[in-house]
Amino acid sequence: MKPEDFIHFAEAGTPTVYIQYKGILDMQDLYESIADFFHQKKFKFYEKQQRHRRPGPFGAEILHQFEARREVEEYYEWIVNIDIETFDMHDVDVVLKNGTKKKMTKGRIWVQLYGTVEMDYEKIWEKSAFLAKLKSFYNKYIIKKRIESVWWDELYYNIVLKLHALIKERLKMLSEGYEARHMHGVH
Amino acid sequence: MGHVKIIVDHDKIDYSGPINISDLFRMIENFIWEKGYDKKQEKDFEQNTERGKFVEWQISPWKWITDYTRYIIKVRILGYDILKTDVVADGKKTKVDNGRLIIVIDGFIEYDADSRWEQNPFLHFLRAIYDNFVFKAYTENFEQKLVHDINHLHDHIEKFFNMYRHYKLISKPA
Repeated sequence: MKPEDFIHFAEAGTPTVYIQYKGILDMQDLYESIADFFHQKKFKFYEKQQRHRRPGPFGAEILHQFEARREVEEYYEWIVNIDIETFDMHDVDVVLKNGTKKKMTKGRIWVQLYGTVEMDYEKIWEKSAFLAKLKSFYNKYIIKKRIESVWWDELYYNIVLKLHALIKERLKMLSEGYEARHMHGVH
Repeated sequence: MGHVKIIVDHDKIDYSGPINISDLFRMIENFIWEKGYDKKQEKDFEQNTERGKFVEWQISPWKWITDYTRYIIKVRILGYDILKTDVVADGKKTKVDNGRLIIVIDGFIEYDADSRWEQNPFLHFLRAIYDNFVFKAYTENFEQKLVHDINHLHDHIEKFFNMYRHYKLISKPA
């Protein structure tokens, strides 16, 4: 029997948010914006995988998998996973409003974002069955409300949805920005 | 997943004409926020086609009413052939989107979301008795409040579109 089988609320995950876009985009700018966002929010940013395939004549398929981690307190950390997959990508020359030429990318992009609040990330409370039971009790009865309504909430609204809005802004989508962006952060 | 009951099935708005789509999304999100729902973005798709932009946007915000019941509202917006056009608003020339939008709103109530009353047929039966007979007055009250929220949202969207609206009574909360 694994500790995950009986420990309550070992982690709390957010719903996955998606973006699908077809058109012209600046991939370098998008990547830098995401990395910069996590840098500002004090996350450690890792590139887990980058897969380049060229299955057809229409352009390359590239998969980027990123993971960002932040140890918020001693007991919990935030993990955000970002999967970006591009299809039919090829470079195009774009003339900007000021008349200068810039190389950008044309194709389809598919973004998935999801976050997790992980409790006891150093696994200190899983060294013995007694400690694991204690951790389960603590998560289930003592800090349950804090997990559900503060830690999870902050991750979802301040990180995941903000990043989602940032990506839409960089892609200049019609749905860019979100109304609740200034309303959080007071707990 | 507990027992999901459809309360509002495909409340639909079909609109063609000038519209600021970003403002529409923001207005809906703001409405949802003010009503106390948590946001869940399910789809946010945009494709640039030869005839304009195609947009698919779907959210399904939820709100816990009790520890046993929660509301789920699903708002799906499909936008076809959206192009920027010049308009004069308040004497100033501005750009707005122009195209066709289809908005579909569904409302659900989820009972026993933690599936505590689904572990055996007897508990399942008890839950049905509880929802339909013992707790009936509250169940109906919850349903009516959800219908009211959705009617309110529908009315907000119609106002935003500045559509021709008949005189109608928005349902009163129970």
